[in-house]
Amino acid sequence: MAERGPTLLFSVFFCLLCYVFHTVASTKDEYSEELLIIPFRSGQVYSHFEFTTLWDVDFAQGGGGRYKLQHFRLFPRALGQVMTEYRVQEMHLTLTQGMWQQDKWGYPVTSAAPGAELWAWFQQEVDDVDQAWFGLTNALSGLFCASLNFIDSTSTATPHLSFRPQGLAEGLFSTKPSHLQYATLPRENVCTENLTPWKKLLPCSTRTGLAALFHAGQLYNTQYSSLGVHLRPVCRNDSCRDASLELRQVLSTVADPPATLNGKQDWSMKRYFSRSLSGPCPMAVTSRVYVDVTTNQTSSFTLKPEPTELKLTNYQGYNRKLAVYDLWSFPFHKEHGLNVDMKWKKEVSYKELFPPRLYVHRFVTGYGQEHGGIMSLLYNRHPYLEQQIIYMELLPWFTRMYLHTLKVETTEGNLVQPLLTRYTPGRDRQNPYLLEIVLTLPPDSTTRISFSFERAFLKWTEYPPDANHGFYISSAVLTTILRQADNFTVPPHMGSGLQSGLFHSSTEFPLRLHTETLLISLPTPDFSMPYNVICLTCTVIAIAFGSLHNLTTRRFQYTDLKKANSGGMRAWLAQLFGRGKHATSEDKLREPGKESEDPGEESETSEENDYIGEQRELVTPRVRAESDKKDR
Amino acid sequence: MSAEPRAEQRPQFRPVPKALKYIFGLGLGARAVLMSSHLAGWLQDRLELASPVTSWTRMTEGLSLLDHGISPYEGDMFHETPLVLMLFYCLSKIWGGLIPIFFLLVDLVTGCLVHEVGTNVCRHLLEKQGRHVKSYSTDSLSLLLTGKQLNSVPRLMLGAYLLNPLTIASCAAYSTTGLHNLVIAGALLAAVQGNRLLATLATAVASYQCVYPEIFIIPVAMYIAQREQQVNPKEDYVTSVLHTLLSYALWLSSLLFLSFLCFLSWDFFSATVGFVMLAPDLTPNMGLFWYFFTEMFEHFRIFFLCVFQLNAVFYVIPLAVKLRDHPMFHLHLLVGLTAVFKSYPTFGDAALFLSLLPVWGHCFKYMRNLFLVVCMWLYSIVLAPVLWHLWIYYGSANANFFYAVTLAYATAQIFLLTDLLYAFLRREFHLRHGPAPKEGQGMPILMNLK
Repeated sequence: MAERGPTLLFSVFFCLLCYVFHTVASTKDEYSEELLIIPFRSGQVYSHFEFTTLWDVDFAQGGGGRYKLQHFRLFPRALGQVMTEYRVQEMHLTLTQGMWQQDKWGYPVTSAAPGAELWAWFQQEVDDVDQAWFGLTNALSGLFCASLNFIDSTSTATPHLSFRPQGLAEGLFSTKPSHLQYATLPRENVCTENLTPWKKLLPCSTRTGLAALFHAGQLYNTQYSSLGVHLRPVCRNDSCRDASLELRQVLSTVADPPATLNGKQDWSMKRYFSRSLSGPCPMAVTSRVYVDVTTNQTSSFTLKPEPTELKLTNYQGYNRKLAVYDLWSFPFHKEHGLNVDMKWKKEVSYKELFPPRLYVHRFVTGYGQEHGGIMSLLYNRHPYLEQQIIYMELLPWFTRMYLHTLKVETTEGNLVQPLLTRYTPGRDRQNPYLLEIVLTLPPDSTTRISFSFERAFLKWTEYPPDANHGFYISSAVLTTILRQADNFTVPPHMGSGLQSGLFHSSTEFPLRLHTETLLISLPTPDFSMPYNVICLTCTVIAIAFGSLHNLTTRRFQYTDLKKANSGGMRAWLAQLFGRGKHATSEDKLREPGKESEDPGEESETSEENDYIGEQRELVTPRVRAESDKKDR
Repeated sequence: MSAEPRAEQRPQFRPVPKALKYIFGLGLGARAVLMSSHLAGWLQDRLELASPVTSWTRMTEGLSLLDHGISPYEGDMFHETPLVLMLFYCLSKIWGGLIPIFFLLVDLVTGCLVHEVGTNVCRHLLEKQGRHVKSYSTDSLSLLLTGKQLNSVPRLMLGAYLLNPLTIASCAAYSTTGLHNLVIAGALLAAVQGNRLLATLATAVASYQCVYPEIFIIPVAMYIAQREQQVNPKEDYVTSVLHTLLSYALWLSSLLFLSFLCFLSWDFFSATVGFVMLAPDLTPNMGLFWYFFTEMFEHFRIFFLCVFQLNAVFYVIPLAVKLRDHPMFHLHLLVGLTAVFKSYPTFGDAALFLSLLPVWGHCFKYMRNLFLVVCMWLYSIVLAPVLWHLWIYYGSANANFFYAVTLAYATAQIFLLTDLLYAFLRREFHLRHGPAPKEGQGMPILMNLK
């Protein structure tokens, strides 16, 4: 017995261990990190980091079972638990500082609205979507140190057309249109306090790998900087029988070397991230840096060190040349880290800018603080192709949109008939106004979408501290599928990671564009006035109440002025203004009928009729004495 | 409405006088010219003329939402009643040009109704005077009404309504205030004619349309009961009042049910009655609500909302007691009171009360601050758009400037109302107790506590 005990214990332990390994092995996960660097024609340099974690986990168990995420390895537990708690199927969060300039820079890899933008699809089994959304926003707010907890029903909408699921949405993952929630916080300031929790979600954090380049002071000293967390279910393999969970963490910046370097276009990792790469993240399957050298056909700049590989891709006749640094094969032992360095031969070599085929601008029209308008210009520069688009506008409740003023026309003045208009009117302090229109943009045209709105007057407590700064209106969203890829920085892709976009050809390119956010000033009350206003208005009410009270509870009566003379302020005043000057000479009138008896109704007429004829005689000392007594 | 059959009857006993024709022509012409001028668009957005309830812009929005298959009551843009919406929907479907014609007609019919109200109220007053003349003081002959008023007063009223710049502007702004005035004038006319069924229907329509006329039913019921008692002294006062109230409730509920049928939902109730009662829209208007509730402390909001709404309707009780023998005057006073204290008043509301004033012309000699009131009125009407532009467009004034104007406007109306009540009560007093002693015999009257 004594010898068999430990053996038994060991065998039980071994079985347990096997089971644990089995479960871990069955949920395989992999991580890849990529960085794409593109020098723009305008002189700016775009760096796009993409960290992808793919987890083969059966997280939407059939039969309405509980969302199962456990045994985290590479996938961040903090995020996974939030997803499990609120049964999120798909989530896209971007925190952006600055505005992506479509007409100068083309299309970004992932478009993001300035400020914070969050949209999520909840699983079909979620009953109370509002409650789940409330929980999710608050959890994410804590997770990313962002003011997402300020998202409430006044900023949340459920667009039906613009935000379709980006991952799997069939079978177990089919969901209802009402399970989408979309919200933006255009005033959100994004900075290091958001970056720090974001980079903690990475398996290697910032100790090694591409994330080692993140130096907050440098990342936020740029024209545009955007953080993103995108979570979606994807097919595990081609047969798509099982699903995987994909987490994309994205960071994009656009640095402006000419602005910081006296007009010189030179760019290097050391200068712009104040770091160089020391090696790949050991957890990463792929760890690569791509530099777009397509514009370098005339070798206007030199790239150091030599890339490990030069790749040519071609989609639809559009050639792209990429210099690839594979961090796994880069000889870190020879060099002191990888510092990608672009040196231009000429000091300045800006080139002519080609705006993309499709882009959009938006601005506020009108003057004064009573009404206003919003106008969007949608440019379709394709010479012969029409373009079908979905335009979405989300207005806060305090800009009350007038649907009847909605006008869609080309700049030549031809009306464009929307194919579909979906409109959800807003409610004061409850819902925003949501407009979605499906349009066909004629080839080589500019289409103008305009409507007017009324500015609401808020309660004095509803204004933000700097009330006259104005209120931000979130960007409009343009969603479409392009048939040509030549304006894409990276063509949108179905697979995971940048690689699939850069090297795999597709025929359809879904595109989402965000317009400018708008700043609208609302009329303000005088914030120092509450007490005065309450006093003054109540005074006016009191005038009415007092007078009516007086008139309805009292009755007319002749009064003895001589009596009043002796003491009354009113009589004194009356005398002062001459109204009483005759009163001193003669006796005053009084009403004898009312003196002795209870003041009767006006219909008591018989006695009063007598009095009318003889009222002047009736003023006798006796009556006066009585009245004196009474007054006393 | 009931004006058409009357218009046909009129030639039977007297031809339409020339003055009336001129008033009609001038009123119509002024409205038509203003409507076709470029000022019309500007007027439509004047918040003195169009509140969120009555604004034509909002009505257009409602029609447009209906066209898109969205219930206008789903959002917070539309607060008119479903029946009016349906009316305009039909009009706009038949022919868009019908709408200005409709607004012109509404004002003309309202003018006719006001004219008839004048005739009927004058006749009623004369009859009443005839009944009570024995109880009057023999000295107060000079105070008595004469038949002359029967002629001049209705014409004055018609003029005061049709030629009032405020109603002209209101009509040109397509403000549905004109429609509200029409139903209120209809209620007044039906009430003074004393037909219970019609009077309760008209009052129900008015309260359905503008909420506050609910309180009109009290003087209307009293008036009908008194009339019935005159005809048949055995009639029980309380039963008659209850009859009237019941009939009113039936009419009102059938109207509400009819509105329910329009969209098969009760959403409209919170969007119309709820909106007027809770006053969530703080867009400035000529009333007392907007700035008060903009600047209100959050924890007192509900309390003051109750106070303000009670204030608008509460006066019906003391007035019903004090003016129990004069329900007609009570009714007219309520028209004025609701025009001041309602949550979204416009100039048009006050204009209706102004046009009713000539009926009580015999009390004017006792009014004390008519001059002040007129000055304050002019001041606020002229300065309101000016200060609004300085605040909203030029940014050189602030909210307090416009607020001051609205305060002055409300105060003027309150002065006018209380002064009218004072004058009326004082005249009644003099009728019974003889006119004031002549000059040289001292100061006649001071108010004393009961």
